[in-house]
Amino acid sequence: MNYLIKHSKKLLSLVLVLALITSCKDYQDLDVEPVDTGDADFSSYVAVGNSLTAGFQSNALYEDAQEYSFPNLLARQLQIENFEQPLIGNPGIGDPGRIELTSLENSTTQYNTNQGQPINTGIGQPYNNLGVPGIKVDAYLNAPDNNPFYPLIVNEGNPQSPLPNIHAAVEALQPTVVSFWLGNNDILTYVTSGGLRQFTNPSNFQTQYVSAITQIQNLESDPTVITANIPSVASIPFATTVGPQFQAQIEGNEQVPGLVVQKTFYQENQQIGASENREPAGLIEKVNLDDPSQALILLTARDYLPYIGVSANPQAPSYDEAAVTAILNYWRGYIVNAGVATEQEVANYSQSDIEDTMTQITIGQYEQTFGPAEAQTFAANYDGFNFDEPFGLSGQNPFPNQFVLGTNEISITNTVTGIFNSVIASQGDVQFDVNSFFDQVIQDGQYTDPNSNVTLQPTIGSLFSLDGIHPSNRAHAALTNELIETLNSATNGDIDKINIAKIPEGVPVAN
Amino acid sequence: MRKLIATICLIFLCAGSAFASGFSIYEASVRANGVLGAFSAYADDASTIFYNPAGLGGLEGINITGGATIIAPRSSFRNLSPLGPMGQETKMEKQEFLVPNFYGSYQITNNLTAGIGVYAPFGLGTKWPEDWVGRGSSIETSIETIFVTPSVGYEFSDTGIGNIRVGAGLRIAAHGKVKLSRAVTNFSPEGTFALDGDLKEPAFGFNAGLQYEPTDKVTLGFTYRSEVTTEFEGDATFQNLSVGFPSSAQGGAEITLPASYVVALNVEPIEGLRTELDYVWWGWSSYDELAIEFDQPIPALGGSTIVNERNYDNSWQLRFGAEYTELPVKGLTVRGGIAYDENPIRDRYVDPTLPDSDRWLFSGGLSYQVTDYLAVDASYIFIRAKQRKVTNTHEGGIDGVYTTYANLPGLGFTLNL
Repeated sequence: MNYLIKHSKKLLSLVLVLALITSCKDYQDLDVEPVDTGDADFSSYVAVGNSLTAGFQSNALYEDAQEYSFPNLLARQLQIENFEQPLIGNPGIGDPGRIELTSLENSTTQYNTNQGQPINTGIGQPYNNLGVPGIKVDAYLNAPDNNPFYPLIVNEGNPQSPLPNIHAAVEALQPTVVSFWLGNNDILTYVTSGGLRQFTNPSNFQTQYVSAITQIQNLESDPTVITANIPSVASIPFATTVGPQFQAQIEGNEQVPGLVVQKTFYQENQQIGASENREPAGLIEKVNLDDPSQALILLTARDYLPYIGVSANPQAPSYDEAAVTAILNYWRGYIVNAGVATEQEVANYSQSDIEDTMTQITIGQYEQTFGPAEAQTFAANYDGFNFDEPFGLSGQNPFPNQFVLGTNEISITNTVTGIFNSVIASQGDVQFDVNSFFDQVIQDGQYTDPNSNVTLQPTIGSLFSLDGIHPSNRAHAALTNELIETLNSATNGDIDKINIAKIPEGVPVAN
Repeated sequence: MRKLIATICLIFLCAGSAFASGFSIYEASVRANGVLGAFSAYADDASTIFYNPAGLGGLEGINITGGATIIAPRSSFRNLSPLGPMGQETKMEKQEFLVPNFYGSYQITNNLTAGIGVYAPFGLGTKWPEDWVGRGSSIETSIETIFVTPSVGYEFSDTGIGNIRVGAGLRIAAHGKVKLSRAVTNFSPEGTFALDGDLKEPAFGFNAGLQYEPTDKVTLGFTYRSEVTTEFEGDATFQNLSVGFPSSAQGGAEITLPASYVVALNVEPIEGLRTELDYVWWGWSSYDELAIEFDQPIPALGGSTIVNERNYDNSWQLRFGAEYTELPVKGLTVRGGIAYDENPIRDRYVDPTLPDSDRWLFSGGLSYQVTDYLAVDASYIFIRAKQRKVTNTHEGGIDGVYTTYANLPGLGFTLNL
């Protein structure tokens, strides 16, 4: 007993000391291993690009998707604090709005036309993510007209001092590394419009691209410039989803030989060796509908394919009032876009008014392309429009060109993309070959994340968001990993990759 | 029985929170807290019903003891996942849990004593900010249980080789609640899934124990507690999730509470000083998954079940405690203890529902005999869990570093009639 009393203080002290040792260790210090970027300085990063860089998904730019933009994910892996993005509250900004799932069972979607508000404004500096949806290469040095995102992304970071162009924002930030991923829209608008809108003239593209890169390389901060190339725009789900679906639908139907499609007349494309087209409409046989080199039916065609075969003649067995209204309204819009009449005027157009106007427009387009003399011969032999003929099955009631890329247009797309990519390959310090990456994924039919068991397919809802053009959250993570691999081998670094299983799918849903 | 349970539930409004490894709670008596639960070979009050029912044998007269322990856990998380900035810290919301206990025993014959105990042997409570980086793993989780254990103990006193005591009890899980909520981040806008369930019906298990006293200075103890399989059932809600989810559903889950055993040695090296070492084994490998079954198919889940893999390992604790009674102040007893508690959760399955880690425990306690019959008991436990860094966590987990500590003050009384 005496022993204990004598030593009780010591024993107590021992217990207290033990308690203090374990409790006082400073647990607030977390030793995050510094990132190994090899020979390069990646401490300050700016991303230049379009919607792909911005983190645009499902036809809108919105916060939930921007969080997983590849530049933001890369910045995190590079342990860059305060990588600023022009965040826009959900459901974001899009025209006409974000595409959202309305049912998981049959994957139906709708546009959410509510628009979000910018939420990271006035931070006193330009944003680090300068991806502006919709822009082409020339917009790096020349502010584009009528781009709703441009002022938000280039100037809302520091609204007091508006900048003349994107380069001015990059210059203000003086980054040590820049990713430059532009050029997609220089050809993509051609694809998404079914060949109606022009791609950028390849020699202009070269001039604009080289001058942008040169300006960046001349910055005082002497950044490492990563140039990313253009993935094959003809192999995105936007262009490859609907055709095979439609082909399967009409497979056994003898009444439907294929799709008769309105065509565009070409002449300007001679610059890249494309052949001229002189036919107002042409049949794409149904066996060709699931052959991506023969014909691509665009996602936008989805609403009109169910009307194939419909006649506007109320006596015809295939008459369908709702379908006829939709088809006539489509052509009304076409006439307005062609600048021939106003919206108010076409609203009162009868069926025959629309038929006559479309016939005239077609002859006019021919004349513009091939000259008045040839147009006269063309007009003499042209049957014109007649909506009593079955929709999409007759040269007089063709399926709109806007929704289809024909063989010729597909080969133009591939040729132009190739030219652009060879320009991109000659520029910058590190080349990020996005094209090969996507080619490989499409060839394999899937992408497997080596860091997890996750596999992703090149389809909508997996690698692609609901618009079929823009990558999903997880595809952005896969791209980031690919870019990290490229950077690691270029600079002898060892930047960690992302476990894609951890990235939420974040599919937009209508609530 | 129903009425009894209802009454008990009214008295024990509270209960929750884990603070031993897994979600077991070993703080079942304030006196035992003082020696950190190194109590299975000693047990001189009715709380022996929890620690070793054999201790009832030889417990004289009427003994009533009760009290409560407050568990105040504190955790923080530093993010290493791609879901947020590297190293970003989130603190778990502060919560305090009151864990009650109550035991009574009555000596029927010289050698036979019966008793009943009410205590909370399993529980868990974690709550993270609703917008935190790991919200897809967990926002709030709580499990509460109240066990009722009627027991008997018998002492064989004239064996010629020393005293032998045996005892056994019926462990009835009489009350239980589970609550969990987490964000569903697979959609934009995000939604929230929550389940609020109650124990469907009382669940049963048993405990049994042995104490052997070869001399009056040495006691050996052994306790076994069986598994108890509990079934919970309640409302599942899917907030802000109208596509792919029903507006509401019924959900149920089965949770197997693990078996455990204790091997204990109590020695009195000098007059008035009793020291005890207990080895406690937990059969946590019974907890391999938490499967929530719904009463209808949920399209977004592609079925009617959510399975959360747990894959716990069995684990152990080493508990050492000492009690000293021969102090200058009459009627005062002091206690102290130290323990090491190995956690059952593999790195891959650690998630914010229960940021478990191996831990050191330190305790102090005292009892003061106010009258011949009544003693007041107090205890204090401090727990420091090892900082735990987890990477490569399972699909529902989040990579990061957890830091946890806890303070557990306790207050109670003991009546000897």
